[in-house]
Amino acid sequence: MSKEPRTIEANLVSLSLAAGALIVVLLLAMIGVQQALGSSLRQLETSTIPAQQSVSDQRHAVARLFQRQVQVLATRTQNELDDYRDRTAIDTALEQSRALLVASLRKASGEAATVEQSLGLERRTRTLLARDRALFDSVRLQHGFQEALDGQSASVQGELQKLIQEARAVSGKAHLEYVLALRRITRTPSPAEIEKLVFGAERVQREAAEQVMAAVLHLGQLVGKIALAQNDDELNSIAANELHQSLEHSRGHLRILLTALAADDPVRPRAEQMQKQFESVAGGIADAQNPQSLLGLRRSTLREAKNGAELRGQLLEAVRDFSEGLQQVEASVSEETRRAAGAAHTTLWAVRFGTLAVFIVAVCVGISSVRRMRESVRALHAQNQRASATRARSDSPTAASA
Amino acid sequence: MDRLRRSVLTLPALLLAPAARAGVQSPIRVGMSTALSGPAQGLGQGMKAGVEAYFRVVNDAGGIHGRPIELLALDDQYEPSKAGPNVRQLIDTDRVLAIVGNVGTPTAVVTVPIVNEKKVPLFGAFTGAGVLRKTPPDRYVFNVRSSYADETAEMIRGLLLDKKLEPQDIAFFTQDDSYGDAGFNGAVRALAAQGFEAPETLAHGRYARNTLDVEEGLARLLDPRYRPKAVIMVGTYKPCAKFIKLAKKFELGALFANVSFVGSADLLKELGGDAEGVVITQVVPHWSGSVPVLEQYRASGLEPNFVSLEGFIVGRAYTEVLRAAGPNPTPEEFVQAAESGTRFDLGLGETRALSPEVHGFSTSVWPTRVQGGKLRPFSNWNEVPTR
Repeated sequence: MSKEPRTIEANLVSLSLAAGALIVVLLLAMIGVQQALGSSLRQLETSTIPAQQSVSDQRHAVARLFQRQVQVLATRTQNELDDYRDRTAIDTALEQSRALLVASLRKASGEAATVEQSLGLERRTRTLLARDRALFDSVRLQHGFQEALDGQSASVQGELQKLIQEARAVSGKAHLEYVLALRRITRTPSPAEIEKLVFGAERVQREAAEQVMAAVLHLGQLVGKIALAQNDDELNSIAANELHQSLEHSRGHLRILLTALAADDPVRPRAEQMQKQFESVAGGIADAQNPQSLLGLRRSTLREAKNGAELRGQLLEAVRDFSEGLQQVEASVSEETRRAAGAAHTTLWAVRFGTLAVFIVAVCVGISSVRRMRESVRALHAQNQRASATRARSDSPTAASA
Repeated sequence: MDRLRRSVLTLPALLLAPAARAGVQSPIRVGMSTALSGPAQGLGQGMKAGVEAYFRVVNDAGGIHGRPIELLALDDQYEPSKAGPNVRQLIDTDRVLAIVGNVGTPTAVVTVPIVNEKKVPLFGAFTGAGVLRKTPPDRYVFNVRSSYADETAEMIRGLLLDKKLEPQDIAFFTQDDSYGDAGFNGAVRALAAQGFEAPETLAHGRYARNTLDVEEGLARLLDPRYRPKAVIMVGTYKPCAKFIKLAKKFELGALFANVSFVGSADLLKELGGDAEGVVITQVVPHWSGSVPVLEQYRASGLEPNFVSLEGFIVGRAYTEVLRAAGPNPTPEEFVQAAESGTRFDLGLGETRALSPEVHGFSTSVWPTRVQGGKLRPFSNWNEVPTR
């Protein structure tokens, strides 16, 4: 029993149904693709890209922090340092980019680990800023001590210079007396004058004054050495050896000078003033109880420099820690980016495969429809032929006679 | 129609007239940072008075190309730390065309780098120090007076050639700084020019700046090994006066010759009766002379002294160059005019041309000596008695 071919109308209905189904499938696919791609794009737009931007902002803010530290460390005075006291811009940039990063990460994944990471970053940021502030304060203290040291050093050098000048004046007066005696002897030699010249106080005064000058000059050199001492050991050595010796020498020569000056000598008050002035300067140099003495200030400067070096180490550690945290966050952000990009990629391939499948289905449906239509047409042809044959038979003479 | 045309033609003239008037009357501003208070105020006030007096003469005669000259003087108390900010203010804020008649070497040390940096002329400073007399000269530094070296060289010339002293008869007493060095080195060069090459064998006493501790220096000169007949002194009036008094007391018996910066009037006052015979070289002629600028100075009404006279001559030198620089000169045009080779007449009997290699108007020195309690000029050093 042969299967009766379908009518053209039936085929057309089938074809229409198939085309309609394909259009519905295509529409559904398009909506699906749009949804999938939209979701990926939204994720990229609202969380991944802002997160990446925030990481970049964090790095930029840290770079600015470093730049500021370089400038802070390059300063030489508290006045220069004051220009860098305000760190608000960097703090704000770090805080804003960190808040944005946390929000972006929450939106992207909402996972506890990611939030934890960002919280770790917050802690690390706080540590970094605190250590930067500590280093700034240390540099400020160092400058303060150095400025006080410079001031004290200049003051001591000025006082020593005055002492030298006083000693030179005393020596000059003694020298003048000596030369006048020489002139007297040149004119009228007398044993008394010669004895005075050889054994008189003028020679002793002049020698003592010159010794005072030499000792004070040496003290001036030591003041320079103290200001340049690089560590406590060097400072202790200068204080215990050279400085102590130099101070004692100066005191000794001042005593000799005073002894050589008679009570009614017009120069004596000046020499006594020198002695007082010397003790005042000596206190300004080496008073162990006085933190404002030259030695005390140099010790404070060295101590703070050491503290500053430690703080710089701690700061570097904090920066390293912060960088690690930022790297972890950056890895998460990269993972999110990869995930979003992967989803978009998958959707793209799904679209490609779906389009191919729909195309194949459409081709199959088309071929099938063409075949069915051909069968229907053939059947129609056959039917027409049969109908023509029947009409011919009925129009023949037999048919006519009948 | 005619009225309209007239109005159109008159309008620009009416609009431009006030500006033109303002242009004619706007003053030429020059600045000065000097000691108007403190121990050196006599020098600063004298220079200011002299410069202002000459500017008054010029302004009364219609100014320079119709513009009056205005002097803005700031007090630096002879302190370098104040002179620097003063000069910066005058140049940056007051926009002066030049700095004129500053006083002192330590202040000049600070101000010379500033004027070179700002490219504004420093004109006629009251110092003979070498810092203002480099070879080649600083482009923006112009001197009116001769140098300390010129003054001590004149002393050497007079002592060796006029008085026929031997170099060994000369001793020095100098301030222990660059001022003293400048004078001493000038004398050494002058001695070398006369064939004497051993200045270290001469007696040379020194004293510390801002002290009266002259005994050591005097002791060196009183040493029986030396028998100086003349002492060349490069210092300030108080220590120099003390030195001369002590030297006379201890019978040094030499001729004492001071450079101009000592401050003639103050030295005379400080020395009192011991001033007789003391020589002071001057960088301007005595006001009693007959050259035109001295007649102008005497007519100015100032109480005559060498400091205000120097200020007066500085004022004249400055205005001569300014006149040559044209109606609205810039500092650069002023320098170009100064270096152009124009011969400037300072009213001292001869004209003088400057060039990029020569920035000094004068190397002349006028010796004076105290006679009867007054300073009197002389030309032959034989007129001055030694011992």
